[in-house]
Amino acid sequence: MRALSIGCLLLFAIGAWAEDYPTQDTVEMVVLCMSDIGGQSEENLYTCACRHDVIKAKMTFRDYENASLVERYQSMPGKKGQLFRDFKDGEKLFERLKAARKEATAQCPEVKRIVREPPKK
Amino acid sequence: MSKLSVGKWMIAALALVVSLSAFANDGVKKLTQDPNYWAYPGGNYWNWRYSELNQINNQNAGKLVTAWTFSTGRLQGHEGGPLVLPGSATGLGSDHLYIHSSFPNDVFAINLDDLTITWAYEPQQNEAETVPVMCCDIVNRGLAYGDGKILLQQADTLLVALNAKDGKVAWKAENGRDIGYGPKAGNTTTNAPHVIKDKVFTGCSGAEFGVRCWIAAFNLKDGKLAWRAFSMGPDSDILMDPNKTMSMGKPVGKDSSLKTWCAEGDWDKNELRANDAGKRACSKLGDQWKQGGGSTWGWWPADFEQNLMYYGNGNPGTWNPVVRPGDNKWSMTMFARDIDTGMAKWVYQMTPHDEWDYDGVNEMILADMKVKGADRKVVVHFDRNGFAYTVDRVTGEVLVAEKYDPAVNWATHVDMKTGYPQVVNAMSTDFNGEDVVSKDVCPAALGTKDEQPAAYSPRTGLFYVPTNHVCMTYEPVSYAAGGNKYVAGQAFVNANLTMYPAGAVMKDGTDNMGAMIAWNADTGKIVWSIPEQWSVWSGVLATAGDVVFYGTLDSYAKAVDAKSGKQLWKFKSPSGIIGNFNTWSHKGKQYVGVLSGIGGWAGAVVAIPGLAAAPDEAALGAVGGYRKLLSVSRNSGVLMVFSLP
Repeated sequence: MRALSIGCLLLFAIGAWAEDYPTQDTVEMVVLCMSDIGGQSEENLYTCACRHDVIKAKMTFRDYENASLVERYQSMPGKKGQLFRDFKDGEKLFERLKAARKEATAQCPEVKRIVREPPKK
Repeated sequence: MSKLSVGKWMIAALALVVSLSAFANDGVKKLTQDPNYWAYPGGNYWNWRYSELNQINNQNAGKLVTAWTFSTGRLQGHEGGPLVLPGSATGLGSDHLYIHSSFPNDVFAINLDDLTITWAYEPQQNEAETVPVMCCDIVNRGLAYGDGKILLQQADTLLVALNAKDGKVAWKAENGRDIGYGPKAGNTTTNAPHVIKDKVFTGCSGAEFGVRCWIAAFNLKDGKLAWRAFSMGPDSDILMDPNKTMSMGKPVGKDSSLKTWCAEGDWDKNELRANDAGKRACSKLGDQWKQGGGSTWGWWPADFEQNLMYYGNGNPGTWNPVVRPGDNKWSMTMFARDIDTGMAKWVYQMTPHDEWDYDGVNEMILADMKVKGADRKVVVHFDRNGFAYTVDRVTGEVLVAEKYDPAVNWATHVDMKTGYPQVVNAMSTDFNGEDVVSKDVCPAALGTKDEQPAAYSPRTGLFYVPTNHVCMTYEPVSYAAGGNKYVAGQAFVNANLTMYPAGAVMKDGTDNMGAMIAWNADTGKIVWSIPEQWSVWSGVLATAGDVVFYGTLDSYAKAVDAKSGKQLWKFKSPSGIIGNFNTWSHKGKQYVGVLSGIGGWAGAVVAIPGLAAAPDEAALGAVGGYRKLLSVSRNSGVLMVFSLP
């Protein structure tokens, strides 16, 4: 019985994971974040992976996806853009995304790298 | 030799003479019958957007992968799709793919053998003059091919023919400035040109700027104007024969357009509607038709047997219906015109006296099919107004007119005797009056469907339709409350709108704003429907592999089973998809290509004047999150090409 419950839990976990942030989007978020804080480096990877995890914990992928759509496409001209400007639920999602980003920035400060200069001879 | 066999010889000889006096597009016609290529915007001349290729099918579509991608280097919305032509048609040694970009409408010829750019054409257009008067994004719907030329309809209304071989300009023709329009008068162009017989057909945009629009045919050979037919005005301008042009089975009669533009204040709103039992005629005529709109930017098929081409036109000038009482003919109308002379054979006005911006520009699809048990030659059209029409394409008789989204509520039904939609008073923005907000009108102004073309599969007999599921509030703005009078080159809209998911009106707990549907044009019923969070704004492709392709605003390219609608594959592309899926094969391998790119990026705020109206916060957010992307991967429209591994 116990084994069965663990099996179920495991299945559930895998199911949830499969529905989670796809690799493509995860990589994109992290690469973009590194680019924003000074480029690709190991320490920026720590910061951005951390920020990604915070956002991931706060929003399902579908919500994140729709929120970033609203963010990107509100400025589109014409009726296509108006769909995004007028969509109240989308606006709420966007607000959540902004809050999640703020939280992520607070929780995951930029990592400093200390390089020890070789002793001068 | 008997008399009979002489007769047979004569017929054969005549046939030979006819085929020798080849029309320039005989080559195009042949190419459209070869599924390895894509030579006409709609795939074939009946606008099916269907391919006989079946290498990719409903058994293996799940394995599709990216084959190659091409960045156009331009921002904003990318509509339309690629053309694919053999070397024999272009004078080049190998198969080539031709693709366009949003403004300033660059054209690229890509060698499919080695994926190099054989030539590129970059038009010089006056951005400051053109872009601010493009009402709804700086899209271009693609190219046409005929007689060794690639045709480009630039945004600034210039029609250009390029040699398919080297991209050099063969000829240029003015399609607007020659009659005093063009960008300075708010007139631009977004449509794909269409080569039919020995002519290039092209359209007109600017109904939001008071342009009186038209359709024009230019000689493919030299770019000389063959004919131009306006959407409204005197019969001679519309190319309409009062005695021979038919509407609902009757000749249209003299001045059929002019008679339906009444003077302001001519209609008493209380006698206006009541399910159209009310007044329709004018007691006093007005001249609002001079700013009448009726733009033409859809996808046009041709029936060579009837020698007719088909198209629909857009909204009447100014979105405030109160100032233009009358049916406003022939805006919002389905036209069948003689290909050679332009003379209208028949017309059918779908939305008389438009009060909602339900343009009738959407694609026309031709089919020979059974309707109510009888074999009919039909044209099928999914209108912005939410009704799908099946019309006899020879006579113009309306056979079926049914709602293709259950949310549609502005009219109860279409009266099949008069052809009039039966408008619901509560949804009539004219009846409710100027400066009054009409609420929960469905569909919204973007329509149950916009220009994004549907597909037809002869294998299933079904139409595959990308749809919107959106409602709106609509407030016509009076001159007294700040509506502007017509000034050439200035926006002439005079209405305020908001749009939201149809579920809010239907109160069914849903919040999806789109659906991909399969439609039976005989019974007028939805066969299957896939809800989509956002409007489905891509052109659809159906294939002999029983796969239907479409794209979404949230960037997904999708393949579904043509019979069941079951999802087979999805792929996240760099941006929202508003382009059309086309297919071809090269060296024995089938490819499916679509443009991904809807703009709306942070950089666009700088690039597009007038966008300053976008919410500041959104723009700022975008700058924060996407600044880098603008210089890296997603800064432009991308042609995505898929194949099996």
